[in-house]
Amino acid sequence: MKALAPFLFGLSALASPALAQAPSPQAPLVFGAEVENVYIDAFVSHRGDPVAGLTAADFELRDNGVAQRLELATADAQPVQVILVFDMSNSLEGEKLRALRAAGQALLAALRPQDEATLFTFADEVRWLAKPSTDKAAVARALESLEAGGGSPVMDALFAAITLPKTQGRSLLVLFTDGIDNSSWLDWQQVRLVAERSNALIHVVSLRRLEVPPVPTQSLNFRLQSVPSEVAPMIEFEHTRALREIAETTGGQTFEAESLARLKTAFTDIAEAMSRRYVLRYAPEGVGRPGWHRIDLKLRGKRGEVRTRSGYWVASVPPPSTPAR
Amino acid sequence: MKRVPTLLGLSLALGITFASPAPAQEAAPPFLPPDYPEIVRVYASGEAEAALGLLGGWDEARVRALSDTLRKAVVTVRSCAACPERGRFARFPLRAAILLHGDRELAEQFAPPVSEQVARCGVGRHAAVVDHLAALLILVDPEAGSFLKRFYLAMARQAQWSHCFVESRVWAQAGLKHYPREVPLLVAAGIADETGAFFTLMPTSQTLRLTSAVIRMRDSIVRKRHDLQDAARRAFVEALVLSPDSAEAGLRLGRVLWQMGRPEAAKPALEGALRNAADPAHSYLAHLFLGRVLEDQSLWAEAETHYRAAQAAHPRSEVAAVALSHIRLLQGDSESARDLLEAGLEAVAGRTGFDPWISYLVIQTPEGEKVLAELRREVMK
Repeated sequence: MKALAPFLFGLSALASPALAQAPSPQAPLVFGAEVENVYIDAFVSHRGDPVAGLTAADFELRDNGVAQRLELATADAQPVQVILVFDMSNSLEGEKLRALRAAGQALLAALRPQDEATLFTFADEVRWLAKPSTDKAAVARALESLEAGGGSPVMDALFAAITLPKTQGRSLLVLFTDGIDNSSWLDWQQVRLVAERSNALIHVVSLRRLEVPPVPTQSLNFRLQSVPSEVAPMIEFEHTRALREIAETTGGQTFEAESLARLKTAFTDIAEAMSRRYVLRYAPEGVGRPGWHRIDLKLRGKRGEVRTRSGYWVASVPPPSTPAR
Repeated sequence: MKRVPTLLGLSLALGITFASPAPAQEAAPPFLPPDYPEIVRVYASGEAEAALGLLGGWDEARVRALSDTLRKAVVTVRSCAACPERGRFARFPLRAAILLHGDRELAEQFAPPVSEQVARCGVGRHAAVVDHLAALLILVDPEAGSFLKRFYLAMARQAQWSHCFVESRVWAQAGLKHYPREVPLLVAAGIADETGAFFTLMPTSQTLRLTSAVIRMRDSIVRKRHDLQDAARRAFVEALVLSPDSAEAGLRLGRVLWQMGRPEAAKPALEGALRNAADPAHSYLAHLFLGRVLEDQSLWAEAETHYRAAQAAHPRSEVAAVALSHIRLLQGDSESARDLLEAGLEAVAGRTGFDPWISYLVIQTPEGEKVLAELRREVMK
């Protein structure tokens, strides 16, 4: 086999400028590289519990519908870069912020020495408070300095957190938000495209709505009260769908903590699950190189739910503005 | 507003009256509640805190009764130019009374949001009183316009600042009822609807359970947002008819049209806003919005030109950096996408105040309060 391609074919591939297509007027979105090996990071669970001990033979993968020969790479050998993206809007003040700090610290404590961590926050602006480093204490100190206050540009923060940190390894992005995007420039469809072409595994942690307006309101900035409470749980709103789709397209998921105490558990569960993931490798055969590659991964003869990214992109043809899938 | 109640205020609170009635009391129309003219006079004398406290002690029935009285007075004064009521109201400090009730309304109905998720809003009984007082002022004072236009605009802005978009529209519309061709009020009404539409949570077509109640609710939300956007569009169009050079109206019309899925109509409106922009914030936003229209049409190089112009207009803008970074990424240049974004995030550290993009979304400065303070100073001279 030739030299390994980037972990996936997202922004990490773009770290090598020679591989990126030269910009030209109306040039295509280029996230591609010369694909030699594709690495797929997958999580398998059965009735909510992680399934361990699987081999490559237990998986069946189709790349654009064509079955591929798989190998199991050792997930443990790969350092993980953990990208924390924390909502610091006004509503986080007080108890919530203390709980979030503690949850972040717990996640950092669960990382291995070779793993890196970095911290972004967003309020009125997106801030990159701690650059990627194996020095988790530095990130922990940044966590302790957090102060809440401002708006909630969730999508812009997510874009920055996917775009800025450089890594050739596995990348785990944990977004915490307790609210709804109210000031991003980018919309969620734009960010979803960037996310699915990145190598980041994105998990979204939110808090079940804890606060109730103190007095009956005739209007509220997000108009939640305009939907009767008995109907609201039956409607999926765009902001919820946005975060769910972004997470799922990367193989991640959304967690809704039912209480502040459960926040810490959600974060440690995420860290723990990282060590229980499978990294599968294959050299694509029988499929055209450029364009969108849809991945279908399932278990062969075993029970369980497989969660992985929906696909990857290889450069050299213009991608559609919204992939038709 | 932070004055300590004085002896006069306290004496009023205790029901003590002075031997010599103040001129305002003498001139006051006799059918007004006996203590009301004095409360207004206290306010006009600069004792706003005391006057607000006294009026705050009125129960709802008393305020409603005052409102009814004033409503009847409007009819009387309007229908009978020679009646003594006209003269009495002409001598009554109506401007101070309007500000007094406006202040009570602000205190009772709006609160700056505790967080971005909670806002307290409403239209209360003092708003109705203001409405009748304003009608009286217009009848008795030919110079009422310059005061009332600023007052209504300030109230609309205050409501907007408190994230009370429905109420912001109510105050703007109340002003427009008297001054239908007042462009800033038209724009304020449009902003209220535009912001209301922006912050309306949209349901997706996927729902967990498609019951008929859910379908009705989902459809009504979708319709509501469209109606708000269309109302905003009409307000901005009307503003532009009256004032074709209004950069703000052009800017907002272009943005709303783009949001409504009409980029071809949005573009000339935004280009017009750019031509007419005297305020750097308007030109910054016009470049950003034009960039987005072009980006959606896959005209990435042209979009980038506008994003770069936006960044030049506002070098500490994170939003321009995000837009620029994203458009570079679309063109395959991840290195400059990363560099531009990192530099953009760092540049924000030296910025003071809000990005105009944030102020565009929700008026983020207590601008209305500044105008109200100015009006109070004029009245309390």
